[in-house]
Amino acid sequence: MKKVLTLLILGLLSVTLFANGDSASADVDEGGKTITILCVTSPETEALKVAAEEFKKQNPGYEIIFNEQGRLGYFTNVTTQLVGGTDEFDLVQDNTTYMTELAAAGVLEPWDDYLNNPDLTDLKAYDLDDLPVKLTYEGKIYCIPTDLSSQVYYYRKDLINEPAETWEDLIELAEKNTGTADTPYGAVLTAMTGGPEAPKIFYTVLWSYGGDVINENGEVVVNSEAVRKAAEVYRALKPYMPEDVTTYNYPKVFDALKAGSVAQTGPFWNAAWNNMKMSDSDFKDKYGIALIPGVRQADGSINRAPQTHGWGLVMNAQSRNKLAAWKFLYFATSVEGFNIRGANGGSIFRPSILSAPENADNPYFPVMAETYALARMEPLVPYYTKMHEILNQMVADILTTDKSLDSILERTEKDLITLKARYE
Amino acid sequence: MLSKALAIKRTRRASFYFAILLVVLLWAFPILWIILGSFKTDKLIISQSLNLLFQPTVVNYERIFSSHNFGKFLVNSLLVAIGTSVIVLASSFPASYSLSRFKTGGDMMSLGILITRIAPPAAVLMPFFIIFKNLSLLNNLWALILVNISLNMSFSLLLMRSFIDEIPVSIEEAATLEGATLFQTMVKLIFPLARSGIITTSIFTFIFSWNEYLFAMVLCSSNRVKTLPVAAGDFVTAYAIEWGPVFASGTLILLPILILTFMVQRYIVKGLTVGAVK
Repeated sequence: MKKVLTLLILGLLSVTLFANGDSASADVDEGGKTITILCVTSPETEALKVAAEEFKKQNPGYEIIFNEQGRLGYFTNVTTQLVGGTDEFDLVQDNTTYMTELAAAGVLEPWDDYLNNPDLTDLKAYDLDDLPVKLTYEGKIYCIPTDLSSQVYYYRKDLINEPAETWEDLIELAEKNTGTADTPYGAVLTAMTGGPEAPKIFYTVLWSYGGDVINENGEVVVNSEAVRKAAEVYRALKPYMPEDVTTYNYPKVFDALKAGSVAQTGPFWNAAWNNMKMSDSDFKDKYGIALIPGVRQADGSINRAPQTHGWGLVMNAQSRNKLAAWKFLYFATSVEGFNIRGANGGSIFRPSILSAPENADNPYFPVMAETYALARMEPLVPYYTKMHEILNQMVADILTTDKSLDSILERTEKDLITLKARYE
Repeated sequence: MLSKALAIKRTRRASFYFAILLVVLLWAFPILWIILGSFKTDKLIISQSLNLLFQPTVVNYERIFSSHNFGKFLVNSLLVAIGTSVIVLASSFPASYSLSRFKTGGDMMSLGILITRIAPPAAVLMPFFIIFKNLSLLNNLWALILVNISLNMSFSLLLMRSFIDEIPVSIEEAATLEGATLFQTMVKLIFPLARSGIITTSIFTFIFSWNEYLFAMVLCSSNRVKTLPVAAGDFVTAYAIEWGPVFASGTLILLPILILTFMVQRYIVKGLTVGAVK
């Protein structure tokens, strides 16, 4: 008995002694020069760390702490902490698609006062015109992304001579390359329901047919001929894709590319190009990159409509080190910051860098320059997440049921109108 | 005739054991897959064949200890799991004794205790976050210990009470006649007799706290207080799943639990079947 009691007391004592860890000292910022960043594990974060090292060299006395976390539950964590009013971090890496909701909740610090203060920002050198994407809410800038994601088309160069230009080409090549000795699947789409990816990919197809989900006047226009055509493309591709295609998110499609089990995928994210080149896949040099397919127009041109969203750092409204945080934000999104991150796995979207002559030999740069020029963002509405739930259901119904497209689109339209009405 | 009957008996027994083996293999397969995968390269893991025979490598283990501070995360997880188990045990034993012997709170008390577990963890995430923020306990392991105590206490109370219920009251009456005080009876008599219950409860509390992910992710997001399950999730990156490190960290999380379970499995079996036969 004495032994048990002794063990209990010892256990409690050790926990009391060590549970505070090496203490709060690590995060205390006495001089206001320690910047804490909550970020997701990714190649972009690794690139950001390299930029942070250069920032520290140029600004002695500054410290940057990266608290990294995997993507599992990351957005739940970010939202809970920001809405809960945390001051445990100064900057947080987030996807631009979720920022409007956070800005509307008042938990993000707008950048305008820092951008327009000549003591803090050299606007001429910063060159705002060279940064085509800015996340704004009610007229204020909340983020200039550090990285911009968009979609391109990847194809096995050893199996496909000419990349698909149109959706019809994509379907034809998928049929030709399904069940062969080289590839079990002719194509794969990122169609995992439950997340943001499936709707984003579906947008690229429906936009190329001239359709939309919500038009510029804020009206729900999902039940249209253009969306029906996009759905038909999905149904036509279905026999040539994995049976469980609605479980394919970015990592799963990427694994399929690495394993060489698909002949082509597109629209698929540009980040895969760098990720593939850095992988140990036997197929890493067998894939080519091209613009996503689209719809041929009467004049022979092709209407392609890649979607884009950014990853960027936003400032916590409760941050205790806003000036230091701004100093790093400014550096990370400057031309120098872009060059450092771009050389270390980050994605570059400043047109001045993409079109620089020294980058012309790399096939990624011209494709991305054209892709970013064509790309558009989804409607960033306060009910974004709920709208995605409805669109996910629509994609799942298209790919996994025999329901008529008319009935699927009618129900989607009805659900979206109901959702939108709740926010008006 | 006898040998034929014996042969049938043996065949039946062999079939029975074969069926058990199949079920065990089915259940153990994911665990074996994780352990095997932790010794494979990423290329082998994602290839389309099973690759049961391969050249093992420790590259994934090197990776998780070199690029990530897994030693520190291991210590953090141990502190949370041990701290929770010790406090839950120290407080739930006397409480269970009180529930069992004095029917404290009446029949409604058990229902009340169960009600504390009705809300899903995600629903209480924000309230807990705000409480710990106001207590300045964010990024502090005490926050996790307190949450885990709250999550595990009801289960421990009810499980331990069922063990104490099994101990005949007459033993305590005899001790009282011998002059033992209530505290002496509880500590010197009931505590040793309820040993299997105490061990079972502690092991379950340890396992639940060891594996807890949601609160650990939100309340302790700083690298210096990160726990193993959250650290293992770091390898599920924004764009790819690094299967090798995921499997290596998964194995690291599994091993202490497997060892602990094998060490005290007879108590766990007893604990799980308590009250089954009257």
